[in-house]
Amino acid sequence: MNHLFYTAQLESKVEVRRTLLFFAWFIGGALGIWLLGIVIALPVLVLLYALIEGKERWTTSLVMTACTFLLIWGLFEYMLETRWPAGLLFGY
Amino acid sequence: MEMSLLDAAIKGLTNILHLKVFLAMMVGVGIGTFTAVAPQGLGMPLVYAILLPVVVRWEPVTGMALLIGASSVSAICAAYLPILFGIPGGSGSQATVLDGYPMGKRGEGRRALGASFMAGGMGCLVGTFTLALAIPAAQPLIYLMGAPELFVVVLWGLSMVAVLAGRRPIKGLIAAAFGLLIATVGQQGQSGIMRFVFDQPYLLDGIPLSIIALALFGIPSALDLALTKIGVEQQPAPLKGSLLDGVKDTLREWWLVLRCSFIGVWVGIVPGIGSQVVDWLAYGHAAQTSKDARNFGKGDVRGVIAPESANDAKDGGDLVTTLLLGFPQGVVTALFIVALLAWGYLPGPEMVKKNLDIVYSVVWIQGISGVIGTLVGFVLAAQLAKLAEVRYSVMVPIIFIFVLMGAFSVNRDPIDLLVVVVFGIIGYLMRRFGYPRPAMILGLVLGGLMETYLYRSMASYGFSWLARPSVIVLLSLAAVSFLLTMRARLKRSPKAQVA
Repeated sequence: MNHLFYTAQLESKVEVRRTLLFFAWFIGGALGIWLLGIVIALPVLVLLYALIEGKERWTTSLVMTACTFLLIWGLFEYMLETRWPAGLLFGY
Repeated sequence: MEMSLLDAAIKGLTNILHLKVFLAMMVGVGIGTFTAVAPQGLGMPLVYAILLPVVVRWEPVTGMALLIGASSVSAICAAYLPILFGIPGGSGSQATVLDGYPMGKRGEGRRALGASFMAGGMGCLVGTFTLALAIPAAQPLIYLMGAPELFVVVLWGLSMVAVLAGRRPIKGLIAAAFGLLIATVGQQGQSGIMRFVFDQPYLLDGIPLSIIALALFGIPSALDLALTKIGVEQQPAPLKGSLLDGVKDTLREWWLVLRCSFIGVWVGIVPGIGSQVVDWLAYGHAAQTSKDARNFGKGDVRGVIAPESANDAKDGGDLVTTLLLGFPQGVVTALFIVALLAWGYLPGPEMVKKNLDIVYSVVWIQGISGVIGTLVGFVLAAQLAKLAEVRYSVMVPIIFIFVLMGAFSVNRDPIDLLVVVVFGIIGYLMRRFGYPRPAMILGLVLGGLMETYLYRSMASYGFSWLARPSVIVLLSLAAVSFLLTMRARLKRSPKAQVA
């Protein structure tokens, strides 16, 4: 509860902006999964977030994206044989 | 099918002697270590929420090994951030910062870590032994518990947790009631009546609990990271000194370890005290009873040993009520109960009667993963510090992935995504306005169980179950403790409650 990070004071303007931005990313991710399917949407979300929001280097972002893809596709679809449904745009 | 205690204990051990159970435990150990050491953000409730949809498809014992392996190791390694970075660890490891960080700064980081791992491991074993002994001791008593008594016990526990979970008891009660309300959505199990379904097939089975847990704990912690944009930026305290010194310290203070472990077990068993205070209770006890308490707060190793042993012993105590009464004390054990229910066990007397070997498997896993966790701490002490440097721009997407993927994997239905977004926003609002989320999760998990017990009571006895002597005694105890706690909490000024 009394985490050091929670006590960090932010200007309320900054807080509101970052909160809204955060939920925009989150809801965008959910919409992306619905429209594009999870195998495409989550790696794209990670790539964009790392580049735009985190200002990470291209290489770091691409490595993160690849890991995400491997996790979703490799672990679930390939090894656990969990078929993820395709997105709305690609027909059910 | 009842078996003797010894048979059950042996069968419980053979249940877990499989390679895949061991592998699952090691994966759990890895996850638990990362959770303990990576800066903020994660946390055991979220990890359980992420793992839940996966493990319920596994064989029970394998799944248990993963879950318990993760939580018990994460408790043992919880002192990492406090000692090296001066950041209070997860709940239950906050007092450690008072003496751990000064030790780290003056070049005794390894000694403090060694003491914390050793004290944690010993605490974990004390908790496990208590759990193992509590089963035969409580067995006759548990067999006397019928549905009416269980209903009252769970109601009692839930009300205590609600009052004590947050800063304001009223908000805790509201959160718990909200959880109970959400639990009613769907087709009622025994009667088949539809409640709050609105002709939506999705709502027939109720709102999936694992999605709610993911959203409620994942989104607010990811938001914290995105808001403050802080990773661990300060340099860690130098990793100097010797782990062995810490081990020696702990062994010399064995009596303190034992006392604090029992404080932990006690906190775990009594409903509602909660994990947030266990470390402070143990720390206070150590400072009060030590002859020479001058150095407390300035880097006394006893200030590390006390909270860490209590924190890890607590898990064993927590499992006592979880397994024997079907009543969880916190979010982690509540989600463990959800997993047990999904595997087809009804935690409480029924499980003790029918699946005693599984109960003992849990005991074995708890003990073994405690030992493994301690070893992991010792072996990897130097490498773990690197994990703490994970940045927010890496952590936030990781949490996004797991929350969205975890939610979507439940039914693979787009409505899953809607639910996770809605409850993510609810979780944010609850955090923002001080409604304790653990109280809501407990209400949600226990709602179904309470209803089952109430239904059975009414079906067997009508209203006359209320006149059973045991029910009257339990109800009066519940009412008295509830009212006393409520009064005490309302009297105290809100300021004093900020621990």
